[in-house]
Amino acid sequence: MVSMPDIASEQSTGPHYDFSFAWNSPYGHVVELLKRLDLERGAILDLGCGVSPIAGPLSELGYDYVGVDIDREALERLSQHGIEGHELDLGQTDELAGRLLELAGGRRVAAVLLLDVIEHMPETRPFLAAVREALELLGRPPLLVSVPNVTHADVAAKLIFGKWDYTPTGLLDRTHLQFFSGERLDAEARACGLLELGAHDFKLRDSDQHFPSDHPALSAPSPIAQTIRVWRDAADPHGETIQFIRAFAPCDVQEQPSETSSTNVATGQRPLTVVVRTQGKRPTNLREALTCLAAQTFDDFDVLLMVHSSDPEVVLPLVTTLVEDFDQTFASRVEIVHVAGGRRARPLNEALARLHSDYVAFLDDDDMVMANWVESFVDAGGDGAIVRSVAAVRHVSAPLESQRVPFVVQSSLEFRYDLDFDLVHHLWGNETPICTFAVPSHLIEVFDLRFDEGLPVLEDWEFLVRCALLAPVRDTRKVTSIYQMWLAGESSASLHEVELWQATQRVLQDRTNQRPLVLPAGASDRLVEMCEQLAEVDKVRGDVLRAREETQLQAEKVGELVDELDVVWKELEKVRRDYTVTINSRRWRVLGPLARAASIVHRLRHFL
Amino acid sequence: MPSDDSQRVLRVQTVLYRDELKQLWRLVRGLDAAARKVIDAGLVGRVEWVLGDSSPSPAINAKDPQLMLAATSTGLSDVTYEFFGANLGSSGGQNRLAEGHSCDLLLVLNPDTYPSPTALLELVKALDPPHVGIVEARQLPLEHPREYDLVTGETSWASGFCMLVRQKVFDELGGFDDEHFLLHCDDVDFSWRARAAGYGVVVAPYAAVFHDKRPSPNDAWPTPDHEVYHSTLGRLMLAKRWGRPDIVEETITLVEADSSEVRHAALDEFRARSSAGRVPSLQSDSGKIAQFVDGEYARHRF
Repeated sequence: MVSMPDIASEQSTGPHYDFSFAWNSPYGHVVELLKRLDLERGAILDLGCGVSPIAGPLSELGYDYVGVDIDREALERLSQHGIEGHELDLGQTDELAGRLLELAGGRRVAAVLLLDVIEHMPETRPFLAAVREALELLGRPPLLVSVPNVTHADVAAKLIFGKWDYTPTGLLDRTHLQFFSGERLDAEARACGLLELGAHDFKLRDSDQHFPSDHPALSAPSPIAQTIRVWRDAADPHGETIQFIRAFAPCDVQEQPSETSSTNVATGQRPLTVVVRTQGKRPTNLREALTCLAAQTFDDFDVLLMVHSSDPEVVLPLVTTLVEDFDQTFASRVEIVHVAGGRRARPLNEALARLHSDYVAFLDDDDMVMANWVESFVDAGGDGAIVRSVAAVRHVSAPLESQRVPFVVQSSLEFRYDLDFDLVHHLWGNETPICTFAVPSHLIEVFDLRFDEGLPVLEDWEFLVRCALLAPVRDTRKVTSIYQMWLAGESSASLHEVELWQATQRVLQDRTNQRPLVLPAGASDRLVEMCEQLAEVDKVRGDVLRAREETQLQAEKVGELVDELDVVWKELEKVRRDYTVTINSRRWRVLGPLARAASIVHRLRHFL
Repeated sequence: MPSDDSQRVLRVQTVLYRDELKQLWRLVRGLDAAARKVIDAGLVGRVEWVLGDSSPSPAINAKDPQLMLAATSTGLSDVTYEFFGANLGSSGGQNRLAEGHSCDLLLVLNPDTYPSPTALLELVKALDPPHVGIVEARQLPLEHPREYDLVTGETSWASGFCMLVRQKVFDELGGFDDEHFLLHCDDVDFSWRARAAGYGVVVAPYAAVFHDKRPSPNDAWPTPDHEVYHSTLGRLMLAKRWGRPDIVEETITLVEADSSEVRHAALDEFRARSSAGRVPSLQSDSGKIAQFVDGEYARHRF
């Protein structure tokens, strides 16, 4: 039986708990949760009450507090404060229900509390079953529990580095006999006929296990610590939960979950589920996409046909008839699901919540696939790897009103996407259309992965990058689909402006940049290669700049020469003008012939 | 042809050559659903499927057709199988299957296909105008680049992967010319002869039929040797019949410059047949019908 003596109890040989009441504490959250439940007033039985830190607040709320514990010393202190207390060994499960009924003494029981008790019991399920039996006898009051979370990020981070530090109190209290995750608590409660009524978990980013705080697994600036936090947060919402504070109602349903922790993992009834997204506006395209699926060489897959429409009364019957037209071996594997509201990602997420297969792949109703699309995914699947094939691109357009065709193919196939997945490249832009990857259902379950419904476009790219940062990607290196780009008409590519796509791309790049990045082996070479290319570009750019400067210098010199020539030219012009003036002058016309004769005489004399 | 459409018989003919049984099960399921749809629409009264096998040994078990029929008998009335015991090619196989059988509509269909549920319905509807003799389905997922009129559907020729023909047109034309076209260009020649006889050849864009073709990543379409051989020989034969000696000479020049032994073998065969007088005779009015455009037999859209 758990004992929670006051820290002042020097005689106690057990751990010293200082559970003074504070609203911002697990006890405060228990009281808050009780207030939210707004129960009819009556007695509250606090099993394993210790020094009863919440007796006062509960009494103030109008409840009759009744403490129950095996620790006589603790009960003595209750008595000194005028609080009702009863001695009871909760470990005697076969007597528990009868004894609780006895000490209730005919009073109406408003609730039963189990705060920091379950983890101290050697066997969880028999104990909870006994409590459940007691609740039945007491008139089915709700049960409130407080249980420490052993999956806090601090514990997980240290465990990766081989550290498991027991402490006198806290998450790894050395007297704990059982450890709980949120998943286990839910499973144990369900197995004992306890249905969750409400939750008000107590959370702290840094737990009592946050030591030594400069350990690389814990230090906030450390990339390791940051990465562990990102992964932990992606798995479930309890990375910062210190105590699970839950209220349960007794119920008749008793499930028997698996003994393993992975109770929610997909059982893999089929190798693959294909999620087809349609608005039902293009029945011919939808029929053709389904025809491609019906013609697959591997047919052990099912189809979730997500009809995203605000007009289900009209659209659903049409889609249902369209599916029923197919042969029964295919049509029977198609489940039609209506989805209302939300953006493009809503139908995808509703499908992810319905998976019962090993893998999931996606197909929009205007894309098409080859006969080996499914087979390639299934063949390459396994080991938790995301499977990636390649799409060819084809341009199509809506027909003119006079044209009797469902759509017009405008181009032959273009093979623009890389055969091999490059995560670094995908941080910049998308090379993997939604029809070219299949994700393991287990990955989706473990990290509760969903498409971002806030995004107007590029939700597939963002989803894939998140997946690829968590799991390996295996390439089939096969072209198995055709991604159709609409030149006009209704499609995401034509409805949304290029600016919107670019802006969303930048937002997603920023978002990725906020998180630490773990790249797969081989990515370093890719980065080195990119850096080398960048260095080469920088060098060329430098050469160009230098050449430009040199050219500028030469141009300046040329300019100077031109200026000098201009001066010379002007001087020559002046000489020419002077010459013309002289030649044309009256004096020159009179004296010129004489001057030329004198000059000749002068030169002859020189020779003689 | 019965005046009442609901009494018409649609006969689907498929020629096999070493095809896997699994592929035929895929086809029969799609075909059965498509047959149910066209019958429910009152456009035909009966759809039967006949398989002819050109393989060296039977590609399927003799009981398989009845098993298929039993498993999918909502639309198909009958499934039969004939082992030829010789490789008759696609054209010879189709002719053999059509021999001695009366029906109203005849569908030539490849074994590596899967019709969409409305494919037969749309094909039959497109054949409704009296002048139309042949209707071709639209191929999924890789649409044929051949040009066709987006309003009327009219085109140069119809591909034999899935071609619906009026039986009387088939008979009038004497079926495919299996003497000169064993595997390739038999559909082109058949279409052009139909057009020369005054019949229209159209594409039915809403009649979608999946055809199991797979591109390779580098845009190179893997082509087996026998296709290279027969496409080369077929081109030479086609140009001979349709009055284009320039195309014959051009093709010979190209093949001679080519290192492909398979193409050379095809050319040798053509020369041997020419010497023996086993080439097609010139078709009258050939100039108005035949189209030889950039190595193809119609203008292509892309």
